[in-house]
Amino acid sequence: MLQNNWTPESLEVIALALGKLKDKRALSPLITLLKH
Amino acid sequence: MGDKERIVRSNAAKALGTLGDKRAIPFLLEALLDETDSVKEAVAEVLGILGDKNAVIPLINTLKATHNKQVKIKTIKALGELKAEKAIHEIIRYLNDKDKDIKEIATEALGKVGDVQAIPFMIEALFDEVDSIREIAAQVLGTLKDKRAVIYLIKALQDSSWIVRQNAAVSLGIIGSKQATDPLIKLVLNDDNWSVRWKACQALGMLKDKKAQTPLIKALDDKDWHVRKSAAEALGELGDKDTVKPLINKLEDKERFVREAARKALVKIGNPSLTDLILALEHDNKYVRKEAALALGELKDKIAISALLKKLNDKYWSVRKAASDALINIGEPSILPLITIIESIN
Repeated sequence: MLQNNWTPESLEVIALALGKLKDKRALSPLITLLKH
Repeated sequence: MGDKERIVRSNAAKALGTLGDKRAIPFLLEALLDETDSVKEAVAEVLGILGDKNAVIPLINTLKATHNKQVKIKTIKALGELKAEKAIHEIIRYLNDKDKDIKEIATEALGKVGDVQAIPFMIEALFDEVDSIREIAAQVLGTLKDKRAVIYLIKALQDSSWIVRQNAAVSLGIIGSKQATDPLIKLVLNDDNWSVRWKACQALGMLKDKKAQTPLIKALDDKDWHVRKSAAEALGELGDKDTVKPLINKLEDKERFVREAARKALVKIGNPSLTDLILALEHDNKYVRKEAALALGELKDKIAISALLKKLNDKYWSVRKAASDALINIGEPSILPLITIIESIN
């Protein structure tokens, strides 16, 4: 279960956005999503 | 090109046109003197396509010498394509030809030459008894962009042919005289033909006269979607903050093109749209939420970030994707809030 009501469908577009924004600060959070 | 068979020579000319190699021009000019009309016709057409002004005088000479209707048509057309100013007087001779097809092609060609000398003749053609001639003249007067035509084009807005009314409306928009605003408004509100109302809205958008604002807002509810779309586009051109709410309402239109036009208009209006667009993210209708998100992305104001983040959780994928795209468009200020969301789930 995800906390704060963020569904897998929401995280899908968040990952997409962080990928397109190409910022190195997103590396660790994206790895976290990879492990979900 | 020496083949005795006329079809072979005609086809060879057409093929040379397709090849588009200007080295063929001297041979084509020679072939313009061919004894067969069908060959002359093909060669004249190709010379128009190849666009070499060296062909102008030979084409004028051919036009003067021929009695064949098709050769005349193809030659006049070619002179138009070549924008042959030297041929103006020769083309003008055919504006009153008794043959309707030749008159049509001469009117079109004169418009393509684009010389101001054509204006009085085009104004005359605007009131010709043949519909197609008036239709062409109404269009050509727009391309000539001369204010002398305005009063005549305004008169043509009442023509019995809807194509003339439509073309005259567009031409008035291109010429850009605010004198045309009131007559165009009448057309938007009263013309029976949707295409005329559509083009009249476009013209009002080009004129950018604030007087048209209220009628254009009314046209946002026209029964035809082309009209609703062009009314939204025109309001975008006017760019007034008072049109934000009516445009927001159009984000709910049943026709996609109208919704998109309303969104683009709101983006053109800019900052005055921001608050209403942020509120629209909470609208019951998914199309409104999606278009509002996309508009906020195009406006790139970071004030919209927190409202857009909430829409990443919308129940519709199209809205979530639009919010995500908007945050991407806003760029760097979106990064930390997005990262914070991921951190909050752990």
